[in-house]
Amino acid sequence: MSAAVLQATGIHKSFGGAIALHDARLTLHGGEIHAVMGENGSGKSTLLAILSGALRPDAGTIGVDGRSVAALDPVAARAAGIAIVHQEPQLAPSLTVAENILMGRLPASGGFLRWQTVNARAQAVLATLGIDVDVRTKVAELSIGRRQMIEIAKGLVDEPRILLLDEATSSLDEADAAILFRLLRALRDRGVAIAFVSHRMTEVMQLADRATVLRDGHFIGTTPVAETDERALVAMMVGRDLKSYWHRAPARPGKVLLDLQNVSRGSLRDVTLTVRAGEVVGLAGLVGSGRSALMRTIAGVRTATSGAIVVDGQRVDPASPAHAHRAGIGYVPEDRKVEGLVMGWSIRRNAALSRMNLRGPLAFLGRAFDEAAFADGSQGLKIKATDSGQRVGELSGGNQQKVVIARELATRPKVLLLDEPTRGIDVGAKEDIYAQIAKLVGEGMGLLIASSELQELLGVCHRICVLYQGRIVAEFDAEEATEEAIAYWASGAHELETPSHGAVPA
Amino acid sequence: MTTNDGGQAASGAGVRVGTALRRYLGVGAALVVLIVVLSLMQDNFLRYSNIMNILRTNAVLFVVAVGLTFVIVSQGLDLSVGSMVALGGVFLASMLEAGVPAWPAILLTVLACTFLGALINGGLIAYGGLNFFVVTLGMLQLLRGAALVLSNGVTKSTIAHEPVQWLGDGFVAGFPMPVLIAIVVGIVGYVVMRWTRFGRSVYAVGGNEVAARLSGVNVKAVRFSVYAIAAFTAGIAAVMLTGRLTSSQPVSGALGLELSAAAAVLLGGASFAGGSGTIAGTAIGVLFLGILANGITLAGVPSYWQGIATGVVLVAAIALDRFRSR
Repeated sequence: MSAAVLQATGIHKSFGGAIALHDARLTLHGGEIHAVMGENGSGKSTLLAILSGALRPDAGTIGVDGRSVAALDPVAARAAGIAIVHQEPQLAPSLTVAENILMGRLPASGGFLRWQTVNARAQAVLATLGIDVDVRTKVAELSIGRRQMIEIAKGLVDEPRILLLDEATSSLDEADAAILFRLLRALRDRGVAIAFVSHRMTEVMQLADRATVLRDGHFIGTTPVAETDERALVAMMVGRDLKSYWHRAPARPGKVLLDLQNVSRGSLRDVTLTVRAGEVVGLAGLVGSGRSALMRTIAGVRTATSGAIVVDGQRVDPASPAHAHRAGIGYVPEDRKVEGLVMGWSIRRNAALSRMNLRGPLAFLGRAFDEAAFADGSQGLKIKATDSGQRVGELSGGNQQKVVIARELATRPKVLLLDEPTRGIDVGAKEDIYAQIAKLVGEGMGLLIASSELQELLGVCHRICVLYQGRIVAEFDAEEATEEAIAYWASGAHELETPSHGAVPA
Repeated sequence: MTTNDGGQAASGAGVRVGTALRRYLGVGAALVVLIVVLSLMQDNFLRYSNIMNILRTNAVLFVVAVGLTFVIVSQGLDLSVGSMVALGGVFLASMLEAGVPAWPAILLTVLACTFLGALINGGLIAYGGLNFFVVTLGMLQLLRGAALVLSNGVTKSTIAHEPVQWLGDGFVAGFPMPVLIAIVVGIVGYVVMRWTRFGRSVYAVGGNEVAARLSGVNVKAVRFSVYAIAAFTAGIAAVMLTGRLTSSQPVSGALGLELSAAAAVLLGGASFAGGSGTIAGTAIGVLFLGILANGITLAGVPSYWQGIATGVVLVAAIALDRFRSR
């Protein structure tokens, strides 16, 4: 292995008050494939963005070929031979493949594009990738996987010496991923240094020479993949110090309130799951594993193509969110700003938004209706606001989240679905929401919580189901579950070896 | 959605409602100033006959603008309402000529307009997922074309038909009928928008369509309904305009009415970003434009200047609002 071509040390980066990276490190050698690993929010993408010049670190040094680069911006990064491929293709859909690949460096003479050169050069790049696409096709006509390959081709036009891939395979199917892996190995053999972020343990084990693990923005360690195994990597990713400020409500499971029988839709395959009264069930899984898709299917946002959804003994199969509400299902979506709140509205108006749909279209809605919905829904939530007439846009993230929860509770649901209930909110608001969950469980509600924070699931749930590629691959009793075991199943590591973690495949 | 991406947009949405309110008050204040200035400068301005004249000539615009308010609040636009009014007039005159009694003909005209707008605008936009601008721009051309084809471009007198004349130009106990109709339409629109679940849903769809859908609002039904409502009020306006002009006017009738109505709705505090605007604001917007035109006429300025004045006022109001919110 040759000398380090890229060396980043002591990288600090914070956004507002949130620290994304704290003394992060990464060393890349020519001719290696290097996995950058960590849980959601561990700072992987931020680190890659800094190395590509898209973000500027608050502190730290970045060296290329042993020379320190003072101010790395996208232009300097490109000059240094660094290219980045993003998770989401950043392409202009109405332009052709060739135009996208050569964007910003289209060959021209006298102001006129030389189309033959454009197409020939783009074709040459695609040929090295082994992709068979007519370069005159419009990007809009390509599948997501193909677009991702075009995005990768774009990164290779300048023949970079350092290639960064930020979850570039998350939208590729296996065939396309195989093509990409072959290409990455070929580039490595030519001496290119490659760093890639991936959540898929199988990929890391197959592809990477070394792996660097980050946790909560801290550098945990770099290790040759041949000298470790997936369990050791997972242990590095999740850490072992369980901070505990959760109080799991005592389990008093009653009758079955939510019963999913072989529910399929899109990537969801044969999901079978029950939630009982007085029980909190957790859904673990990586981004794209189907957590949110499952929540949305239960909530009637999209309808299952097969299988049955039974609520409190009645088969419902929600056809719309209003239908789900009438059946007793409440749903707090993942992104409160985009999916949850009407920001220009008052708190009480937002609190009445779900309940009002249980009324007829010409039902009279006055201030009293809103106040009643807010009073019913917000009991125990400790929403901090001047009064219920304050606009939600003025509230903190935690209070906004509480308003969305209040909105759903105002429909008096039997089952409450919470997707990432505490993402991006402060600790105080988190504790209030955990306390509310415990209170609701005590009152006999059934809760289903999807979260990418394993500690949260371990802290509040009685049972935890693990989703991997749209299937429930494991189910744990919360008492026996460990972060390692959940991460093991969620990352697909079980596909590499026979199970040995005590969980029974579901 | 064009809004609600991150904290800045979140406060931006809050500011938007605030500025909508300020613009509403701002135009209201400008309206008062305009009235004071005109009443000082023009002796005739405050006369009962002149005021009634202003109200009568703007009743049609207001009725159309009420329907358009629903559409704009839902973050849409209906460019076809002017052509719909013209086509409605042709329907009405043709039916009367064919011997259909006046009241059934009036009812059928309103129903036909509502049906057309609901089916094509509402259907294609809400359920077909087509862009509202494209659909209603196409309908602007199509409906005007249909009015010309059906009438051969010929105006037909309706003066012999008492009920039509009464609705468009008559009086009830000395009070102009079209103004009465406008007031009733305005009150119904106000109550529906402000106090019913449906009205609330229109604001929700315009304010944050995704949140509205996930919380159980039937977004497609709401979008369908607002275009049906716009066509319904256009149908009412068609009957009123025919009565006032004593004839159908396929070529020049209600030309550009959709743009005047949109201007009034925007002046009244609505925004193309959706989620804001009120019927009361629209009433103020219509009054402002109407009184401005009246003042120009009273002052002896050629009426060609009306367009310039309207354009300046509209852009100035929205520019002022934008600069203040920075």
